[in-house]
Amino acid sequence: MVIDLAKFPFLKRLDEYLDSKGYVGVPINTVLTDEKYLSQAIDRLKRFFTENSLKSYSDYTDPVIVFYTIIAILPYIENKLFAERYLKAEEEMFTKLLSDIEEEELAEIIRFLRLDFEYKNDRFYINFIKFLKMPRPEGMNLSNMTKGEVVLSKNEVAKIIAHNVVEFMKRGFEPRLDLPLPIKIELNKQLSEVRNVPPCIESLINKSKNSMLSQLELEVLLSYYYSIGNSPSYVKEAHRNQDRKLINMFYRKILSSKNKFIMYNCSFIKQNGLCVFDCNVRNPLQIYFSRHTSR
Amino acid sequence: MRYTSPQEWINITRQIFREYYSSANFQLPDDMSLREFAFQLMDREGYVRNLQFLTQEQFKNFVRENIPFHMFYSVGKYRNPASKEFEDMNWLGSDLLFDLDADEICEGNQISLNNAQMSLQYVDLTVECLNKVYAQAKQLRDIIENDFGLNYTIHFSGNRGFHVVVYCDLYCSQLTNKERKEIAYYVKTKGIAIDEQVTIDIRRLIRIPGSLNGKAGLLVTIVEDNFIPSFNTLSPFTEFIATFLPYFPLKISPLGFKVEMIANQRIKIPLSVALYLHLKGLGEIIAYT
Repeated sequence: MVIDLAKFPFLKRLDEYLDSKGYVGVPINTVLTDEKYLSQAIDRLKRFFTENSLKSYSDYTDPVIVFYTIIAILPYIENKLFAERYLKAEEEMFTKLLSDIEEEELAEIIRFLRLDFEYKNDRFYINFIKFLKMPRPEGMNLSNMTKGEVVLSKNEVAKIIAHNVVEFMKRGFEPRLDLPLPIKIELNKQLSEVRNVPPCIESLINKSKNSMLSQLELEVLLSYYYSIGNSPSYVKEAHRNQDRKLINMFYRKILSSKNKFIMYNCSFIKQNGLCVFDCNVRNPLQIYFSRHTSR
Repeated sequence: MRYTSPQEWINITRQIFREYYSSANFQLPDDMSLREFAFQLMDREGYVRNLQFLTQEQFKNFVRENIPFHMFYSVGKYRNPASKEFEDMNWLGSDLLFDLDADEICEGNQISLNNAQMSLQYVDLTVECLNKVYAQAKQLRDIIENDFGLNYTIHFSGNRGFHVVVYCDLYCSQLTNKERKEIAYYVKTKGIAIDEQVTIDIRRLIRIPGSLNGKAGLLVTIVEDNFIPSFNTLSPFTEFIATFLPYFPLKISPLGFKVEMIANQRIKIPLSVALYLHLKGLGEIIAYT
């Protein structure tokens, strides 16, 4: 039985795949930061947020390299909420694809991945201790057991495999692949553009490109970046032209705050003359977290 | 009211326990040297813990010298079971333990007793109730055997419950608290009333089969296919007769043995029954032959 590698790129080990493609002796970094694959990987992430769906890996000319490029860049996404949502979507996609194949093909994938499931009489079996110790989707508990084995349906196995694939994606490369700084900045810049940026923030971003922001303006902008999940190191790097003392002061203030930090609300922004458009929301983050629409 | 001093109470209780422990046999695990042993002594508050015995004889000598009230070994196996701190004990793995308690399963009729000097609550240990708990233990045994495919033993706790013990191999013994919680959850969904905390705990203590339970004076025993709840089957003191002095007027039938008590009026009853009543605080043993 031939397994469709294009649909399930995780079935191929990257080093083996690169060898088979003639990349012998080429560092993994070089392949995964190739402009062609990098742009496809970033485009995949962006499309998830603009269209709320994922392209099948089989739509790429080289699905395996795109898959591993995604893994390589995931740790560098500053917005952790974004990364989590993306991985959740990957898990759902793989679950569906794995659920749609024939049992025999799934059994073949299990053998390929050296998972401990056994396929017999149209059902899948796994020792209950191995089941307990393996990463599983939340809520998938012990049930339907016989003689020390958990009996699972094809769909349940599909969910577990997809979950394990995403855990593998989360673990990433060991050691982590070091991406060049310009790629890291470009990646996060492009990803931040796919969300609806509140007009007041957009205005501050534009202003920050050419001039120094006041302390208040900088605090509003930084509180926005912080609230959407960007790390201080990324924000500092992206605002190198701004007053670093003020930026450091802002993050010290957040770190010393015992309560969860919340983005400045619209009434505060209006009172301080920073509002540029009446969006009819209470907090600029409502714009950001609303589904993307073209403006 | 109590007639004897606390020391006299301890002396007679110890004397009765000594009768049994002078020739008792215990079922200790083959890997006993890896287990932590713990005891409650009659003249001391709290537990004596972190003891290690390398042989049955060493253990028996300790028991004969100290005549403990309660005795336990750990479900956990350790490289250094005698170390005082858990971190230093070097955990190697734990058996899997399930605890079934009559208080969770039976609707016990709680009796409030009062006299000029004391008051206490008593719940009778009926044959019907113990049979009910045993029926749950058998159901649990079937789940462990048929669903989990594991070997087990059922222990009567010597008072109001049963322990189902799975002696784990290397793989099963490595189950974490979280994984044990999932097992407990599965068992509970099958309608078994177990104490979840006991199953989760990798450091729990098990009463030693062959020992006496200091709360009731009954033997902790490994139950084979047949469990008959009676003093004759569960106590080693069936051949002695005791003079018992009740504190309260009371009619009860522990383990099917009918006792009618009038406060301050001595009765002669089997030592097995008298010891049970004595340890439950319903009166005291004056003498036995």
